[in-house]
Amino acid sequence: MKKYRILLVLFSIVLIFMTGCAGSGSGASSSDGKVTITFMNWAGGGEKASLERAVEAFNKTHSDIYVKQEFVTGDYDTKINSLLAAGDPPDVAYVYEYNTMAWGEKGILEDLQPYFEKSKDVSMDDFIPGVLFNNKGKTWGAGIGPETMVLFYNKELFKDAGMAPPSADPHHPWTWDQFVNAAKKLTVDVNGKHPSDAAFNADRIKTYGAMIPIGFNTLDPLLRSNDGGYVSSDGKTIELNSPDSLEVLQKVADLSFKDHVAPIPKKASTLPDAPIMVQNKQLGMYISGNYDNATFGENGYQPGYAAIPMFKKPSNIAWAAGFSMFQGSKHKKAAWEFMEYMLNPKNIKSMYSDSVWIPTKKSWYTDKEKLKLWTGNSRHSGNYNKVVLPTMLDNIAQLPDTVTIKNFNDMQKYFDDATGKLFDGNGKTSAEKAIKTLDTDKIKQLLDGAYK
Amino acid sequence: MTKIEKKNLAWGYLFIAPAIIGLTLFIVAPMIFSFIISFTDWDMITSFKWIGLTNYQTIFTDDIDFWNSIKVTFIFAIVQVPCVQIFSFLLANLLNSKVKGVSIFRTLFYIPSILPFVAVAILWMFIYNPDFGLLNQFLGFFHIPPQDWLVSNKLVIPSLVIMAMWMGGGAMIISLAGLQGVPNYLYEAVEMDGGGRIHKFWYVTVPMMSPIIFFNAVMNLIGVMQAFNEAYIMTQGGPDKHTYFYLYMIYQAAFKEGHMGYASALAWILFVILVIVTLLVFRFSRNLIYYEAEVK
Repeated sequence: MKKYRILLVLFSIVLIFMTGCAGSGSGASSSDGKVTITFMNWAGGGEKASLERAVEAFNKTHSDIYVKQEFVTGDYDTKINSLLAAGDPPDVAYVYEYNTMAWGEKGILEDLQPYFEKSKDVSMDDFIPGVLFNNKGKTWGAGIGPETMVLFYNKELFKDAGMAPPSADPHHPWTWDQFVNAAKKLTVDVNGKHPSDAAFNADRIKTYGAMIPIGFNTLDPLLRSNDGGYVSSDGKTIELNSPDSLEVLQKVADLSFKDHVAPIPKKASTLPDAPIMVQNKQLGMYISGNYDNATFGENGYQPGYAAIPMFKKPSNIAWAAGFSMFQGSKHKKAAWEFMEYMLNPKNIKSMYSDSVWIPTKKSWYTDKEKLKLWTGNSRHSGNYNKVVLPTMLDNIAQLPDTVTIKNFNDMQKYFDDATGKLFDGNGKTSAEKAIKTLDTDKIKQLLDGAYK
Repeated sequence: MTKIEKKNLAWGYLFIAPAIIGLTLFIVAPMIFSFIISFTDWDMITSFKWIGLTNYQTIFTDDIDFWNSIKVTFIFAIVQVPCVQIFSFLLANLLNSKVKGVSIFRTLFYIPSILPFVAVAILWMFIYNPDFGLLNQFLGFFHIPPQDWLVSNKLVIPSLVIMAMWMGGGAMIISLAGLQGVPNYLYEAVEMDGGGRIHKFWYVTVPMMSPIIFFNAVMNLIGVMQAFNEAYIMTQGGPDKHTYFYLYMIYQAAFKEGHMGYASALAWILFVILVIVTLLVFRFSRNLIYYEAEVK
C-alpha cells in the first residue's frame, strides 16, 4: 500500500505543477463589472506617449470598458506568435502589414466588415486607398497609422553649396542623375575634398551626400519607378531579376561603392541614426518613412522635405500596419468599441500632428479645416504638405508588395539573401551577379498570386 | 527489504521528485514534443500538418543557410575554444602566483564573466565602432589605419573571439581552483631534479590540470556551438552571413518566419551534431588526459 501512497504524492505534485502551467485565460471581467480588453502594440517613444494619451482618454469616457495596453519592445512577431500558440491572443493588436491578410485567411483575425456596416461613427468609404485590408469581401484590419516615403535633407548644406534643393513636387521629382550629382557635390572628406578630386579619401568621409537605407521600403518604390519590382503586381512572376530592376539595384549600390557619396551599407549600423546625421551635417539627403519627421521634431530640428527621386516615372509606396481584432477575443463588442474610437482620427489627433503618422481619412487631406488640425504646426512646415498630400491623393503612392502579394513575407528571405550579396559585400559583386544567385525555384513555389 | 529501507526509499523518491518532475516537464516533455513536430509543418497558429521527413530532406538538400551556418559555427568554435582556453589557463597560472594584491587581480579578471552579456555586447560594439570606437582610436596612435571589426567579413570572427577571451573568467576560476590542488611535492621533485619554471609548468602543471582543461574545453565547445547572443545582439548574422550561427538560424526559422516544425528539425540536427562532436573530443583526448585515480 505504501508504494501506492508515494505514487499518489508524486502524482498530486505533478498535478499542481500542471495546473500552475495552464494559467488563466485572458479577457476576464473584473469584479466591478468592467470589461478588460488588451491592446498590444509595438509603439515606443513619441508614438507610445500619444497612444497612452488616446487610450487614457478612452478609458475615462467609457465606464464599462478598461483597455489595458501591452507595449512590446523587440521581436513583436515572436511575442504574438507565442501568444497565439498558447491560445491566448490579445483582443486588439497591431499586426504587421505582411501578416494581416495571411492571418485573416488563416482564421486568426476577426472580419471587421459587419462591424463597419453597423457603425455610425466610421464608414469604410472615406479611407485613403490601402489602409483597409480587404480581401474577398472581408476586412481583416484597418490601419490607423499610414506611412509613405520622403526624401529628407539638410537645408543648410544645400545653401552652403549654392545648390537648389531637391524638387518637392512628387509629380516631377528629381531624376536619379540629378540626385547623384547633387550627392557628389555634397560629399566631403576630412580634408575638404570631393569625390571628383584626385586626393579624395573615401575612407575618411566627413559628410555623406546621400543615403538609401537598404531595405524593402526604400528599394520597392525605386524599383517601381523604373518599371521593375520584386514580383509582378499579379503576384505571378519574379521581377527582381529583370533588367529594369537590376539597373536600380546597381545604381543604388554604386552610390556607396563607385560614387562614394553614401556610407557602405553594412557599415550603416555603426553610424549614428540618419536623422541625427542630417542634423549634424554628416549626411545631406536620405530616404525614409515620414515617421522620421517625428524624430526630427523631437530633436527640435527642421529638415527639408522633397519627393523621392525617380528613374522612369514618379513612384512611391504607402502602407499601414493592420489594426485588427483577434477571433480569440472574448469581448468582441467592447473591442470594436475601442477600435471605432481609435479609427476616428479626431480621437488620436496628436499622432498626426506629432507627425508619427499621416491620417487615414481622405477628408483630412482635402478639407482645409481638418488639414489644419494636423499640419498647422512647426512639424509640418516648409514643403511638407507639397510633398505628402499629392503623393497620397494622386495615386503616386501604391500599396507595397508586402501587403498585396501572397506569401511575400516568406519570399523576402530569398530576396534579401541575393540583394545582400550586392549590398553587404565590398562592391565587387555586380547586381547582375548577385541576383543570379536568387533562389528562383523556392520563390516560384511560394508565388500564389495577389490579394484582391 | 526491511521496513526502514522501504521508508528510506520512499523519502528518497520524495526528495528527488522536484528535480525529476522539473526535468520531465521542462526538458524531456518539450524535447519529445519538438521531436514530434520536427516531422510536421507547423506555424504555431494553425494545426499540424504531418509531412514525414520533408523538413530533414529540405534542410540537407535545399536550404540556403544550413551549410553556411554549419560552416561559420564550426569556424567560430575552432578558433574560439583554443584561444579562450589557452588564454584563461595562462591567466589562471599568473593569478596563482604569489604577488601583492593578487585577490584584486583575480576579481578584476573574473568580473567580465559575470556581467550580463547584453551589457558586454553593447560595450564591445562601442569599442569596435569603426568611426569613433576606442580600439581604432588606440590603433591610431600607432598609425594603424582604422579597421572595420564587426562589419568586416575577415575580422568579425576574430573580433568576437577577443571579446570571448575577455569574458573567459569562468574557465579561469575553475583552473585557478584546480591549480591550488596541484601538490607541492611534485614541484619540489622537479626542483630536486634541476628543472626550471618551464619544466614545472610543462611536466607538472599541465598533466595535473589536464582533466580540468578538458572539462573547460568541452563545456566551452558545447556553449560556442550554441552561440546566439553575439549574432542576435551584435551582428544580426552579418556581415554577409559570416556570423549566421546555427542557433540564430533556428531562431529566425522559428520566430521570424514562423516555421516551428522546420526549426525543430534544425534543432534536432544540432543535438546530433553536438553529441557526435563531444564523443569525438572524448575519444581523441583519451591519451592526452591524466587522471590520478585512474587504474589502467
